[in-house]
Amino acid sequence: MVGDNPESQKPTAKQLSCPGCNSTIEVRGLGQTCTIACISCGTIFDINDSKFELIRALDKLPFKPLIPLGTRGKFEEGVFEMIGAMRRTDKSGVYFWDEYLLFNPYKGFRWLVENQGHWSYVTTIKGNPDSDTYSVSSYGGETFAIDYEGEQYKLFLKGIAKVKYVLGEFYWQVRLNDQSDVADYIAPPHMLSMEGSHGERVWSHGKYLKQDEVASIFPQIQSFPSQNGIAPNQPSAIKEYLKPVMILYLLTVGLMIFIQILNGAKALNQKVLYGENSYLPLDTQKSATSQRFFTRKKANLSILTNSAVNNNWLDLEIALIDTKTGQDYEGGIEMAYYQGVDSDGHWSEGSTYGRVLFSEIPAGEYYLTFTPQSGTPTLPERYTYEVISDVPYWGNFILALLIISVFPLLSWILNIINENKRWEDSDPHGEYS
Amino acid sequence: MLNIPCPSCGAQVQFISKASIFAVCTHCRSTLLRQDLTIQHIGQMAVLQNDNSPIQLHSVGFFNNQRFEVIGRLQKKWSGGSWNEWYLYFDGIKEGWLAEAQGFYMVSFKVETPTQLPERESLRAGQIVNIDSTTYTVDDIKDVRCSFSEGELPFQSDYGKESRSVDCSAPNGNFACLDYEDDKIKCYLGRYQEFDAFRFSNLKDLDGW
Repeated sequence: MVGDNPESQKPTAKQLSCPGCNSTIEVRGLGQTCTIACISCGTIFDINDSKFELIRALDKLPFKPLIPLGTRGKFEEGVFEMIGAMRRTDKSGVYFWDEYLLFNPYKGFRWLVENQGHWSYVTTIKGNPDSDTYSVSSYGGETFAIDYEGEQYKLFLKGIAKVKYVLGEFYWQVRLNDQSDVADYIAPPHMLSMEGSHGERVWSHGKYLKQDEVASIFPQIQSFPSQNGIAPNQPSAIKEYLKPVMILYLLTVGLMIFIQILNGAKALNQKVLYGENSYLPLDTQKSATSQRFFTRKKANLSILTNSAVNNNWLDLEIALIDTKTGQDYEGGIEMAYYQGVDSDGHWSEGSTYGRVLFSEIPAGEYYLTFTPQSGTPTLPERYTYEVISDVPYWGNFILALLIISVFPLLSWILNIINENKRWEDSDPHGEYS
Repeated sequence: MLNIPCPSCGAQVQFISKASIFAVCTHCRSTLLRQDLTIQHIGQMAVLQNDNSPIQLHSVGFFNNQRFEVIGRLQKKWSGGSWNEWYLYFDGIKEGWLAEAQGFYMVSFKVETPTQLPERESLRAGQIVNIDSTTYTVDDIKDVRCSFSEGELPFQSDYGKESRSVDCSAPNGNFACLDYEDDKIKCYLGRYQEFDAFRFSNLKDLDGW
């Protein structure tokens, strides 16, 4: 493929003498560039018509570009040579970024932009993405979103860009302090930028490049500026995996609910025994025995008790005994209920019901023993009990749900934090950019 | 294909397209006007300023999968630079133009000038222009001068002639160029195409690339 090898013999390009310092300047974008800023002295001059009109002379070299002029790098699109470097500022004059002009005689010009340590590869596009014929969302005459090539780009900032320093060659007659209006719309990792001056508007499309990608394209870069914050079009790793994680999570929850309902439907809910006991408070530790009952299948066994305790408590130690094997299962129930009236009105606490669940009880014949213990001895108390075999159980389901929700919830929160951080520097009304 | 001897130096001047009436002799750079089988010497063409373009006469490429050969060139100059308009010959079917500027390539074809175009002096960037039921936006307006010709062309070269060239674009890479000359407006409609899609062959060797 033509122009593919960065190691190709360097061109014997046209050479000029700088009108400012007389040093020899190599013209890399011959025929396509029109203005040069001398790398030795910073003097800017136009090179059309072979007349070198000196535009501006400077005392010293204004800045040192990270990528040396004339360096070639291999991008996905092909090999490009760095021929110009420009530093621009925003409205404040203090915040700046660097733009490197890349040239390939077959493909034309591209830009590599470095902003707070973050890199983007930018191509000028033709057309006006924010005209009526594209899909555009506006409010009050301001375009805040553009649909372009299947993505929605949201307005991130409006501001101005002012040329602070230039070095090398450019394809337009660039001057120091040239100013243009800019608007950036983002769809990470992409960005659509509008630049307007003197009634003309030019659009470009940018793609975020990771620092290591830039390092492999330009190994000549000595050291990279540290990355500050999140770039507007920086892709978020969290956002990328959040969608599949959420889909998987919801599918899993759906499946779990389905299984749980199925299990619930299979539960026998077989009422096997109902009984009633009374006890004298002084007869504590005196056990009562129930009638015998049968269970049909190995399942859980629920014992629900109810006692009309009023500002009192009743504890029951329950033993479930298998008549054939003598195996006994132990459990306990606490019932407590308190109530009263105070300055806020009536209050109550606790419950007169209690429940214990025995798990995995084999089918067979059983009976229960109840050993009560109670609070302030008063009148004889009664309690009723209901025994049901194979009840639907939600405990495991809820526990599993909580466990699998941790990671998706965390990811979701982290994503929100990340996106908030991204939009912190947004300035869609051009207040300080 | 016609081969007619140059009245100035006798070298064979080739006319690949029947529509070409103007040519520049490759040997003596005389500008020649053709009427049927006779050609008339009308002037002299200036030396071309080397612009390092990869395209040259007889380069071959594809547009919309149709093969073309480059048979002529117009170099248009304006205050900020210049660009090439290459005259294309599509296998005897039609002629078109390839505009080459800053890595952008657009192929367009001359159409009948539509009515109700904006006035020359009222043209502004960002203006809406309707041509052939398509809505275009004006991208830029340049006052240009034809500074060089090469090969063969379908009209007498506008060497030195000035016009206002208006580039417009519409979605999907559609492109329109309006050429406002003194007495008339010429209209060309076409599309942008990526360099790779042209599958160019017989390009000029570029030193160092």
